[in-house]
Amino acid sequence: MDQQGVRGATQGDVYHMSGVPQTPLRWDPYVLLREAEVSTFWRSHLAEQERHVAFVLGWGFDPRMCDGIRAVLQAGGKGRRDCVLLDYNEGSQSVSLRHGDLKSANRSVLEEAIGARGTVTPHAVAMLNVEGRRTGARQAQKVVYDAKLPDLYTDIVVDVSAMPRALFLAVVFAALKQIDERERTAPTAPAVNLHVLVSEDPHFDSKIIEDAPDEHPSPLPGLASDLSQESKSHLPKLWIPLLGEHKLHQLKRVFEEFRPSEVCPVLPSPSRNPRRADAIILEYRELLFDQYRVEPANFLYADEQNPFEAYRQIRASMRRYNRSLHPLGGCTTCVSAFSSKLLSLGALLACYEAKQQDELVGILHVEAGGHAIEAETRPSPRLFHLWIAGECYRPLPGR
Amino acid sequence: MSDLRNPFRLRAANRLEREDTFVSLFGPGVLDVLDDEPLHGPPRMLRSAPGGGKTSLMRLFTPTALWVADRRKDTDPALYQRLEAIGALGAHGPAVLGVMLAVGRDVATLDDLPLEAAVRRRLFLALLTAKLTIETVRAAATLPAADPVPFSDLSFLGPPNGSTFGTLTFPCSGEAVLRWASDQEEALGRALDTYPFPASPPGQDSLLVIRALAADRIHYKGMAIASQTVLMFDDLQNLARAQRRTLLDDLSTGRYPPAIWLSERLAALDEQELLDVGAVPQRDFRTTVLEDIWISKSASYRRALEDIASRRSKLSGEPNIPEFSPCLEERLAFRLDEPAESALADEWRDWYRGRLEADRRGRDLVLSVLGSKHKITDWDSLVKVRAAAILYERDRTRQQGTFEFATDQGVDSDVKAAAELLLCLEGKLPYYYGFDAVTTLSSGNIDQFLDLAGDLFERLTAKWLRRKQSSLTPREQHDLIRAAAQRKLDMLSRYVPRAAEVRRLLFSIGGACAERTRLPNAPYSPGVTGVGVRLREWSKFNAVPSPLTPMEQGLRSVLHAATVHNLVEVSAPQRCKGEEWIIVRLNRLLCPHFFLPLQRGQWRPSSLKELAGWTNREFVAPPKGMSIT
Repeated sequence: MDQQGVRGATQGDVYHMSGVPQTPLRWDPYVLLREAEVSTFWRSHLAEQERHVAFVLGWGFDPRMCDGIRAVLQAGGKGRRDCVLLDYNEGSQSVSLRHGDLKSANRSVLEEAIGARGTVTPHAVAMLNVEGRRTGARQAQKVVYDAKLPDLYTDIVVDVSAMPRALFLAVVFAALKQIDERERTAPTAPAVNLHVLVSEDPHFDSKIIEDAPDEHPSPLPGLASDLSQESKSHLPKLWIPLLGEHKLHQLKRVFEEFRPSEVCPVLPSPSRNPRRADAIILEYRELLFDQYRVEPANFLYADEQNPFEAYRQIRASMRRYNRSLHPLGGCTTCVSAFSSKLLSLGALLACYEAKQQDELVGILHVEAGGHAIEAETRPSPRLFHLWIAGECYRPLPGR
Repeated sequence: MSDLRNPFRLRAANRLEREDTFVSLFGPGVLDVLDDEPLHGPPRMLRSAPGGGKTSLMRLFTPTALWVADRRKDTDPALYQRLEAIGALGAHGPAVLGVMLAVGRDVATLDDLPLEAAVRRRLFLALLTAKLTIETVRAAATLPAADPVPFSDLSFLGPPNGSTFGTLTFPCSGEAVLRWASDQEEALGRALDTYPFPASPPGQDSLLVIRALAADRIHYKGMAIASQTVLMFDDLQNLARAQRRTLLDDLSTGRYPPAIWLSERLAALDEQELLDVGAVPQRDFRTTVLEDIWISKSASYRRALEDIASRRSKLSGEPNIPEFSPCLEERLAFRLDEPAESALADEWRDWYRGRLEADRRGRDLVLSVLGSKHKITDWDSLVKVRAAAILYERDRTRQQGTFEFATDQGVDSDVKAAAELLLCLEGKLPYYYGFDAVTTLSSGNIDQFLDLAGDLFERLTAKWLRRKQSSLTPREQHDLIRAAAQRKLDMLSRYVPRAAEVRRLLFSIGGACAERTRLPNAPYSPGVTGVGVRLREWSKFNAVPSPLTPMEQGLRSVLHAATVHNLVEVSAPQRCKGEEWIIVRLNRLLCPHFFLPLQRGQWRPSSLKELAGWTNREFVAPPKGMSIT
């Protein structure tokens, strides 16, 4: 367990010698739990008081979809346990449709797990509009905003295990924004906790193929406009791609769209496979060194199983560039996650915080037409829990 | 700029590259795609697959690039003279205000908002107005001098028949115009990032602001900054359909004074537009498909690519490879003392002798082509025998009366080309080599050329480092080119929608072309590189109501995906045997995978039903055909 239960993270502003104010990192310290720690935490958390928990899940074929919700429900406790189920539709050509049986099975498991403790409310989310443009993220955010979860529940749990990247980034962004807005307007009201669960298995993930990735990158709603403002186009552009395997097409598309002036790739290191970062460099060597001319000193490294580490690295880079380029007006930063869900969450937190601090920032990613499991494989996942807003980040009384 | 390990990997239109690098890499031959007066006349639409060179072409006409070209007039006179002839450069530097606006996907997002169509249209025009105005002020500040002048020193007079535009009152300084446009853009951006969307963001009814953005309405030190303006809208494929229609309607009816260039990927066209090859070009626009232009101007294209390659190889850190094209060996070293080549020669020597002793008709034909004392001593003499064998087979086949689709015969160069292809295939000899081959295989797409040339340059530098040799043999080139073709096919599933069906269609077209190309009588010499569908059948794609079967509807989507990703070329209608045909050809880089000819080649008749069938089940060659690889 990393930094569990650390309270009172607020410190005074720090000023860099350039004169640019440096507020402390919001998720430092942070709360990240793994495997057995997750169940232990929930038993203790739910036993403290009656808690009403809303789950936000994506209804997909991934067998890990209900791992998180089961762990929480098994921890017991009093209060409602409702589920907002995003029934996303990738279109009639999606290869995901091959796994209809797995998807149905997931629904049965979910209904059984919730049982009489609450309700499951499905919401249809069309990932594409009639012209083939991506609308799923915006629709998913609308579902979350309209549900007004912070007004009704003490804990919101977003399980991203069976959600495409575009959806979970959008959902976590919207939930975090709503909770922050509530904190701002009603600072004395009881805190609403936001938890993110990820059932991660890199080997199984590598067996899920992304079919027909888009020709155009999509921005994350809420973190879109800074990337395309002509009035800011004279500023240097920093691109931070989180590298994963087999994303050549996606990397090229985002590069062409954003046209950065500086590239700082993030490599997963340390990693379970110690050679993973080397293999990634080898795969993209021409693109990175010959085409994009990335300086070796620009590479960032983040623990592949610690999203807060990625957050910290990305945030530090953003700040460093903004500080150095302050005399020119700063820079515009684009972050693209082509790596695991865990690291993608780290990228989201970095961008969210930067946006809150009025930096020019956005997320661009390339969505896929569908997903399919390449071979007969059973996952052997590890459950991760990120507590990203709520009680643990409030100052302790008297501090 | 520092030396580059492989300058062919650079994409010079990227923002990463400085203006002087971009201009130094720009081959003036690319300007051949423009007609004589590109800065006048109706709006111009440039279309191509990704990497066709649209963005580079537009970027060259921005003031900063023009200043660099002006500064380099002694070191790069060819580019300077071309730009001067067009009217973009004058005695004192840039003579045209080039404003380039890359239309981002954010604009299309406006069309997805839950608002009425009229409101969305007003928001779109307001956002475009703001972005265009910002780019114009920036470009105007870089036009009067090589170093940008302060925005506050620019004076905007406003449109000729008005003194206000929205909340902006003319005349005013560039700074005021920039502030007004930036505020408008930021307000819209903030609104887009907010949920729910605010009730009253700014809106516009047209792009009338263009009248205030012409160079003669912008003064610096009391003088107009230029007499001509070109407004360039890049990447229109990023717009929503309704927005694209709004923009094209506004530009065609607005009769704005500046020249207007638009560029879009073929992907901007929907299935109906893209496959409607017989359609009348869009009214009020001069439409140019870059790949088509280059295919029709092959000599210009070759020159342009040679120039581009030369400019890039000079940027390399390897002084021993100062030029690229001479490093690609052009001639096959056919050696009879090599076992494989000797065996090939023996085989055809035996065939020649056998024919001389065969029936009279065969002997007469062989004697008329080769004479009685023909000796195989080199590649050319071997090709001549192989060509005679093709003619012999044709004669024999004609007697049997099985010639199903007559073509022009007896064209020596075509038969010779077919003979060379078949010999290389039979003898496993290199066929794809030389700079001309690389040019041809780029399919009129500059990015594709740079990719292929980059592979060759990579090997070239490695070879120099290891063996101090500065040329690539035909075998090395051939292998690298075939590997590039294989890679293109392998990568399909990573980025093409309906990849499995697209792949089956490509392999079927390739397989069917290979089967016909390798018939012993080579009836379609030099070979087959495409399939034809009757125009009256093809027109079903665009008929209303649609008479297409579900499979044919699927084919339409598959062809659309293959076309926008530059995997096939769909031709304009061609007349043959009293009927009009649409020809679907493979991208030339895919031809090496199927060992198809370098020449454009002929085509094999087909039908929508057959093509639709191929998307589900790959073509299988009849058992008698030769193997594909």
